[in-house]
Amino acid sequence: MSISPEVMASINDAGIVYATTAAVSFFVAALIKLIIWTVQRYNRGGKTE
Amino acid sequence: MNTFAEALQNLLHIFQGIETLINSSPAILATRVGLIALGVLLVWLGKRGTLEPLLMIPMGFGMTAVNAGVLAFPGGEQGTLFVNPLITDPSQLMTWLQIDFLQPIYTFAFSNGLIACLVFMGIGSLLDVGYLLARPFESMFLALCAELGTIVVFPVAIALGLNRGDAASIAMVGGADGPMVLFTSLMLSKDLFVPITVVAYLYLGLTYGGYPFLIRLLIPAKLRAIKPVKVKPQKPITSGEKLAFATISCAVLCLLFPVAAPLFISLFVGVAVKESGIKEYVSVISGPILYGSTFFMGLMLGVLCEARTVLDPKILILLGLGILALLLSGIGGIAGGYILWFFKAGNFNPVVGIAGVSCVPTTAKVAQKEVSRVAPTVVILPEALGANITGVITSAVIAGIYVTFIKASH
Repeated sequence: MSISPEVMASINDAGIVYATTAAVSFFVAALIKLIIWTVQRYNRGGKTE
Repeated sequence: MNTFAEALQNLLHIFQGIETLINSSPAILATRVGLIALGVLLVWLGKRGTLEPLLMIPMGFGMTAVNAGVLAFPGGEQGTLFVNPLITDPSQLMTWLQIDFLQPIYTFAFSNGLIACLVFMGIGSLLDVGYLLARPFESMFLALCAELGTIVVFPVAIALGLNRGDAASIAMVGGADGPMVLFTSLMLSKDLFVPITVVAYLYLGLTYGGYPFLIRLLIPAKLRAIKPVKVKPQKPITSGEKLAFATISCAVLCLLFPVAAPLFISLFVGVAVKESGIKEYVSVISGPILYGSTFFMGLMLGVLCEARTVLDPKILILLGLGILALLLSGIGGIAGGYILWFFKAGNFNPVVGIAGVSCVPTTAKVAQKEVSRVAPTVVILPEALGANITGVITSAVIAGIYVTFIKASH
């Protein structure tokens, strides 16, 4: 039994969708860290601990 | 004898629902009777709390009424006075807007995804994103693992003969987010959006009943009882940080996926309203808007379950794929929990993983309940809610990618 080209293409697409989602998710996570760091720094009046 | 037959015929003309039932083909007759019974069952299961009553009671009512209330129009064609989802001609639409009582809601709020966005707005106003902001990478990782079903079911559906739009829409059931499935299927699967969304909502109710068994099957009681030790004290997340997150994330995600911008703005404006402390807006969005939209969405999904609409040979495939998507997402979430447990040298409760499936807040509550069964003093709800809320964002991102990807390839 062989996998049809259409199914192979969809496996490929699913991989791209997952990889893009992972990249966007970790980018958002990094953005969250940056937002929290910036807001906390702003609240301390720019002073570092 | 003839007089008796004529009298019966005249009587049936009065009771048109019965007349159309008798005059239907056997398949339509059986489906109508089956859907009337299913509607009654949904109302009962909603009342018992087995399925989500907020949605199932209006949906069950709609399903029962639309399949009972079929009448014959002049010209002999059968139809109802509820809604006609198949109209495309604008002049015909103007006529039907004056005939079908739910047509205005379908045309102006349902078929364009507005009702899904309003529900999403209400959900946003109830979410506390502080749980996500406290542990962003951990939550994102778990939410990604819990999207396994959303990814794997796509090629499986293609292999079973669905087109790419239908396949992506049914795969979204793995994200366990009803409004998201409705939004995606309205965009990608105009012909099958009714059965796909109904399957999604029916199965979402089952997560509450089915996922505890999956947790008990895949995670031994000893691991379920793990009490994570806090390495360093967590700084409280302020409303300013939450508001900044909602504003910036909304802008970034809209920039990346304009096609899913209605979803992002709806979710994040709900969060922003909550964190801004505008009580008047919060009470309107989390009250009348959320519950009004949920009610009409349930009713609309019910009345769209007309025998002719759901009598599609693809329904059985959709039923199988929907349950496969939710099962795989649950397994993926638990696998993510195990990975974190391993990398944190046992200082993590793997049950948290299943909360990455974004059925807010059901899966987080299920995770806490299952932990409390074996260890009543262990609290994992904050971590579980973090993963759970992140799951909503991840599902919206996947919806945006699928819609962009599939529309671009057409």
